[in-house]
Amino acid sequence: MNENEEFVREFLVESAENLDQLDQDLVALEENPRDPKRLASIFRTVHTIKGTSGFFGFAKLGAITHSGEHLLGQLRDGTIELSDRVTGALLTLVDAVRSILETIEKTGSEGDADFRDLSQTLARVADEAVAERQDPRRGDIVVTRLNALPAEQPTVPQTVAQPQAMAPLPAAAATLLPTAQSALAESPVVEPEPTQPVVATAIAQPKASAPAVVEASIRVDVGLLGSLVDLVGELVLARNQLQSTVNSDRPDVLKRPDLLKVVQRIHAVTGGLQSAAMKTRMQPIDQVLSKFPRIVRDLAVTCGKEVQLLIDGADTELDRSLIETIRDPLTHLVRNAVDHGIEAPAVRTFKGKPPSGRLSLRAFHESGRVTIEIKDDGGGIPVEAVRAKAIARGLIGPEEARSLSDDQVLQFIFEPGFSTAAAVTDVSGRGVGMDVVKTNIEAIGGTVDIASQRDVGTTVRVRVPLTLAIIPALIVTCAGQRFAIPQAYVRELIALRAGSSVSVEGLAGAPVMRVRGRLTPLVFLDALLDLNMQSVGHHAEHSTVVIVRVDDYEFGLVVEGIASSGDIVVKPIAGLIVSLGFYAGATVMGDGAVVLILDPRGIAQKAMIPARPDQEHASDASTPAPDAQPRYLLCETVSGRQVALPLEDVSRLEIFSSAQCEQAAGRMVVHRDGRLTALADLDDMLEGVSEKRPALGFKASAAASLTAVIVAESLGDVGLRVKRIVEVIQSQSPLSSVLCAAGVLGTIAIGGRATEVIDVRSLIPGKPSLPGAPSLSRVSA
Amino acid sequence: MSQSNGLTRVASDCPAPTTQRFCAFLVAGRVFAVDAARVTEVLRGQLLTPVPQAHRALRGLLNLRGRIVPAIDMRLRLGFDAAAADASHTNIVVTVGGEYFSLMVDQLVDVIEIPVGAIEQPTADSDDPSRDSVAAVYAAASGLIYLLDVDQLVAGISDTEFERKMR
Repeated sequence: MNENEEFVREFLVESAENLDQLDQDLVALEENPRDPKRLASIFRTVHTIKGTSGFFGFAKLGAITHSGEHLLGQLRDGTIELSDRVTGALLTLVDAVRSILETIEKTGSEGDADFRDLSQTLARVADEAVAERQDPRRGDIVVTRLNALPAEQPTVPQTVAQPQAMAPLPAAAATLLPTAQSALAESPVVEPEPTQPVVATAIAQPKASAPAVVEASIRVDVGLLGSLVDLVGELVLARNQLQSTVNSDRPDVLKRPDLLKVVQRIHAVTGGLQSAAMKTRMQPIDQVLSKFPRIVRDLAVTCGKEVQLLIDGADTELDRSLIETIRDPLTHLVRNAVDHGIEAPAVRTFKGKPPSGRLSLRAFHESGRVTIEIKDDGGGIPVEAVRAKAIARGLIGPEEARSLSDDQVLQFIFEPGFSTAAAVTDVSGRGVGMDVVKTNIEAIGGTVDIASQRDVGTTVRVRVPLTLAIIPALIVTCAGQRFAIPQAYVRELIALRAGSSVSVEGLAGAPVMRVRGRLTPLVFLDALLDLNMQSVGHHAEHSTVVIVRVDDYEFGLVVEGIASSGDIVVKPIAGLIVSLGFYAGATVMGDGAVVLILDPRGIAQKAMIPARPDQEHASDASTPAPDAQPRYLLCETVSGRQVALPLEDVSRLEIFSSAQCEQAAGRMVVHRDGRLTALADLDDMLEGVSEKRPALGFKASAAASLTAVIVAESLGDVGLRVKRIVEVIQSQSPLSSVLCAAGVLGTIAIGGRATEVIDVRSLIPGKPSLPGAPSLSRVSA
Repeated sequence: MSQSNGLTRVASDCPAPTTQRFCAFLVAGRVFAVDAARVTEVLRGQLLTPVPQAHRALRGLLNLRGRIVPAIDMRLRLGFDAAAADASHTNIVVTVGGEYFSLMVDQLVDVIEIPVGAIEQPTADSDDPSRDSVAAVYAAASGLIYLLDVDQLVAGISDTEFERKMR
């Protein structure tokens, strides 16, 4: 009942708007009687009301709109021409419909008014207009009668089968009216009962105090709303400027307490106006979810399945622009669930499940985002089939496939053109879709997660931001200019200060930094944007690293500092600026200045940040996947030799000033994090290991600073001195261990050049390289 | 804004029914004009936010009542030397493909009517760097007016400093 009540409400609101439009259309039609667009629009509107009234069992409404539709049909087909009489009849129809709707709104039923006269009149007008338009007298009578027809005319309670009460009918109407009559006859709500039906009372009661339904909401042009939001934004800026003027301690202002009061009031009102204006953009997600019962029903029938759909949280609000964007991805996920997820009833029974499958759609707010969960209790995604398919498609090697967890394997369904459906059905399974779903959701800063269990079901969680118009952002400064970074991408902030324990590297070529045990590439914003080409040393002094994660990229964006953080209004920027690849949009700050919003995805691509091969593996460096592409730190030794160090053996890169280094027990050491780290020259060590004598320490050089590669903690507190760091590379080249010297694991081809890979473990005293050592199981030195 | 340099007289001298309205302005001492139908408004100097890595003629973004509008330095765009840092300029806001752009010019001259028949093809002057966006010329009493193609003005700055460096 409740649901029905909701639909009736919606019908009333929609119809009220449609009727207003009808009035206008009819009037416009009089001026231009042959406007086919207008006619089509009027016809459509009347038809819609007729259809819906039939659905709700509003027989009178159905009957009169049916007659009206007939008349309009003849107009549209050109059988009759528009005359005053026809227009008059149609306008009366509009009034009658309006009056019935008002009665429905008040009482929940159509009321007692009798509109059979109107039906007849409409039919007669249709007929007469064809036959004898030349008879003006008769037309006058019709119009008079119609105009005289009171909307609330109390008449004898209508009885259903009363064809004899009808006046003799012209031929056209005769064929028409029986239909209307039969509609009346079949309708259950025709007889006005002394006691109102339940629906009616339910609707009627809130009516007493609440404003009329039709006034509770209106439709507003979206463009108008947009300009309203823009204007409010301008007002906020003006307000801010006003306030800073007032707060400037000017004596003439301080003498005016009344002025201060007004400013305060403007401040409060503007704030309220802003939040109200922003709310106008929010709409319930129901706009998407409400279409699913029908879609699911039709699909279930097509697929021969039984599906019970549960929808929860349909009133969850999000920005209207997002509602449009998530519509298609969600539809796709729902189709997938019904077509592939939920099994046929026989299969379900066999598995001991109820024959009818359950599909639940849940929407809710969660930490400033909207989560939409699509959960079915179907057969789950066949992980082995996905694995096999991934191998068949060459996405992974058989070796690697075995080592991947089921959850990791599931991610392959987001690969383009990936489908495991045994049969391509009409509904889905063509292998297009999941990648598009993911791309579309990610394009609006959302995420898609999938979890599946064999025979238990599949759950897909789509998380999207509340709005794209206002996002929380970090305002950073770089070379005197401000930039915004959407908070959604920011993982953490790290201050770089000279001498602090986190202060690291900043080495030309391939700057990296170890964050939470993972080497993270760094991007210097000023260098990337060509803001100013300062010396590298400048960065290490006073900078902030914003660790940014987007898609498969994670990198540190080095900026000067953080100016502020807060919500910003995202404004679109010209296509030619978007195509630069660095910026996603712009915003206007409180002082009226424009600030560019950085696009982390574009920056990762511009800076050629390598995608992280796999999150799990990178954070668990001691057990690399056998086939994962190994990463190396490429550096040049003091003697100018280029060598590669396996990245998992490297903890961090540091530059020490010669003042930090000291000789202790014949070794060169450096104070670091309150510990002593032994420093050794990589050249010396390589030489020493080949002479079977470990060498730690080296002759103090005259250089003011030295670059050191600090080895992984499991290998000891040792820093390897090198001349410079070249870059971090990912190599597909196989490690060749033919003819390699001591301390060298083998060689790999880098840029066509054979480069030695250092066996760091063998260089460190007390840490002999073990055959099959976990750090480098590929080759035993 | 109005200048008494003969251009306004042009409009009244030629009351031919087939005229087109142009918005004329000065850049580095020469008179250029754009189709007035494309001009939405004219603004005085505005605060600009530079766009790093964009074409050098794209001087920055300005805030036009909450709308973000890229500003094109017409001196640089047309191949002249940059104006002095303290030189005043005027922003002529035009629409291109639904987006707004501001043309930073030295000075607005006037809105003028030009007889369609008097609009001539530009001569092939290969030395002139502004040639790529000059669609036509009109010989006014006071001298040549270069009629610019607004779409071409914008299209010409879509390549970036970043790309140029990459090449």
